Amino acid sequence: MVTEQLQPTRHPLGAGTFKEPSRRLTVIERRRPGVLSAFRELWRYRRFTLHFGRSILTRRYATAWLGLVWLPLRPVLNIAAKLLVFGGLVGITAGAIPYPVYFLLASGAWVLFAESVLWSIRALEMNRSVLRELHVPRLVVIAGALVPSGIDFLIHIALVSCGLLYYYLRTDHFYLELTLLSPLIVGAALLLLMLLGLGAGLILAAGARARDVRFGLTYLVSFLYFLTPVIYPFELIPNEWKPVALLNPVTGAMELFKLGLIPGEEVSWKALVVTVTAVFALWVPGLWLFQRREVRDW
Amino acid sequence: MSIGSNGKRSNGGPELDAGIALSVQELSKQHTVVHLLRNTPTSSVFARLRDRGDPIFGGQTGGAFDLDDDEDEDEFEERPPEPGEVVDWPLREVSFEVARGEVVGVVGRPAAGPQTLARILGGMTSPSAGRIVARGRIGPSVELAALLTRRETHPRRVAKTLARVLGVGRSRRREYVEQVLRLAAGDGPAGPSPVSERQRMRHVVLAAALDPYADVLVLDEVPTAADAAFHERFTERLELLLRQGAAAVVTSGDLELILRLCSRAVLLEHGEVVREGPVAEVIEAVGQTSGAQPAARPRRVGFDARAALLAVETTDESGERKRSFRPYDEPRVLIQFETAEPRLTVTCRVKLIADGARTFSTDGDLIAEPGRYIAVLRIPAGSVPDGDYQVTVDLFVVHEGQRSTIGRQNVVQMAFEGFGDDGGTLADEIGAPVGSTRSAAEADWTIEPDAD
Repeated sequence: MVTEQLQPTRHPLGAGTFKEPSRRLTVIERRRPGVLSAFRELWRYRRFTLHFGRSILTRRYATAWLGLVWLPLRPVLNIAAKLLVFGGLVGITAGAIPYPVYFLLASGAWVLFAESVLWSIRALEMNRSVLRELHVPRLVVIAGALVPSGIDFLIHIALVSCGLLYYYLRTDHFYLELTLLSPLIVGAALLLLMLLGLGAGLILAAGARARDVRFGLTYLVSFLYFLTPVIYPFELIPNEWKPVALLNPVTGAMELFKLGLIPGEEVSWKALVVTVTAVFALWVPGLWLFQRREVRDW
Repeated sequence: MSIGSNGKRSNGGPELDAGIALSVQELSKQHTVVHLLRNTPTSSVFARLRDRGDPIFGGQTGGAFDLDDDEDEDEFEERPPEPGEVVDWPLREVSFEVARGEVVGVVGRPAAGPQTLARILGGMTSPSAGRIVARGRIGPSVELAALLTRRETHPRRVAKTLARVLGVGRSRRREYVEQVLRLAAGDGPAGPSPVSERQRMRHVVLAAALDPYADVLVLDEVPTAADAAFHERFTERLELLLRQGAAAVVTSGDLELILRLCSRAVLLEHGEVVREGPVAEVIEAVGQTSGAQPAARPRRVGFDARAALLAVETTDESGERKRSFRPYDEPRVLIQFETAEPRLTVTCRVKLIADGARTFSTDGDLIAEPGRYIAVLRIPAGSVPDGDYQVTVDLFVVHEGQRSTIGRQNVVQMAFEGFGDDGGTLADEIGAPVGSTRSAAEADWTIEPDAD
């Protein structure tokens, strides 16, 4: 027996009373192709983006005994091992700031890119059965990849904060340089990294069978990891190899990110041009290919 | 804003009369089913990929790229089918209106279009032409709610997920979740639930479709009379929402329910409106045109490049759709499917689950040629203990030695009465326990080409 009154805020006169008609109209029309339409849909279906992103996380850790504990544990173990090798055994230094702080910052930016690429392809596969029934724009699912990558990034930022606090208490020195422009520069760098990651995912998911691509991409991203100045600062690259390093599209965004936070950092405009060009080169054909592969008769 | 809608406001756009909650205006939907086996040995790899489509993208080819994003391009151009394609119109220039506080039933025979209308209203797909204008927010369809939460294992999580995805504001979310759970579970005494876990989840999904914040409700499925307690709660809540000004569109295939819930009905034939008026008149017209209760439109439950599961139905010996069976009814499960690949090994699996404890499963196999088939599983009278069963049908194909799932259809329920509690087990009679496979010869299966 249902006796309760529904939403007193919507029905101030109580159950059984005709509520005021809404002044807002909802219109359902034919889906229109086009780039602007794609972005409008992305906004319209934003709650699905979060849903698909969240389902990636829950499905990834659902069967693990430790469950969501793995979410922070995986990056922590990964960082610990790499710090031991690169900061300890190999002895790489990062100039003015302690290497662990540098490495955590760079790794945070890197995971935002790398996880976006990998999850954007994986997300389509994971939700394939839902997408057969539900005709939401596939771009929404790809964008859902930003949820796991964003969480990994935030975990890295939390670790950086711990590291900075440790060094501040130990040396009474705050190693980062934060200016009024820092949020702007860091924001632009993160945006470029996300666009690079999703753009690569978009073009790869659209261009070929996702599973085949995923198998190959894991190795490609690992290779790119060593080419990008994440483990080592850009200055450590020998001069004759620097022009080659600048051709890596992730380098520009990575250096921009460091520029916003680390004192004494510089970024080459050539690297930024390569990064921005790569973003366009990935997104324009990526969207075109991707839309061609979407269902025509929505 | 409703999911899948364009969310346009009234300034300069469409208008609705004050008393109208929903206006369906010349709505058309075209399905282009690509016959996905055009990969002749001579075609190039790229052409084969393009023509076959990708399961990720629904196994269909893509649309045009339009950088101009022309807003004025309102005309939908009817495209003649290409070789290997079948163009189907589940909806063709359908128009009707629903007033505030009114329940309108949309009924029709298989392929007539009610399910497609519910899918469009529920935001699961979009129309090919025409439009729907609603005053306020359109609630989720049962199908959408079930799809989004099918991996959830706890009723509260189901309700929370739906609240998040459907855009219920943070301040209202807790209230929404509590209302959905209360409606699903009832106000009965605390303790073990009298219904199975699966049924509880189903109740939550159905309860979520009665979205208290929605102005238009989409009921593509309603609880059956066999589920009496929940059915009563559901109907009372629906009536309460209607009194408060919500409108509802019911597209269930159950004509008795349509007759009971709706004041007006729309009859669709081949995707077009052929009758609209008081529900009793329309239902009578359905009887005259079909001679029997209209079945739900065959729904493409799942498909890939090789096969598609179209519809599942439970009937008696005469072919009449039923959910509740007496011993003389000779219950059977009808499975309609389509294959597109020559010499394809297809397996239909039917599972009957009662209270999560008694589970029976049987397989019917066929090496099929391209075409439509109807598989019939007869359940011998007297072999099934009394009770409510959840029926699940899976369609598998075996390709290059690997078996893949094409689709799954959950039939709401089969209830057996008067068969006796000590009847033989279904497993003994027609099949084998879950996990094993029987050939068609061993079980009581017939799988034949569909004459229709």
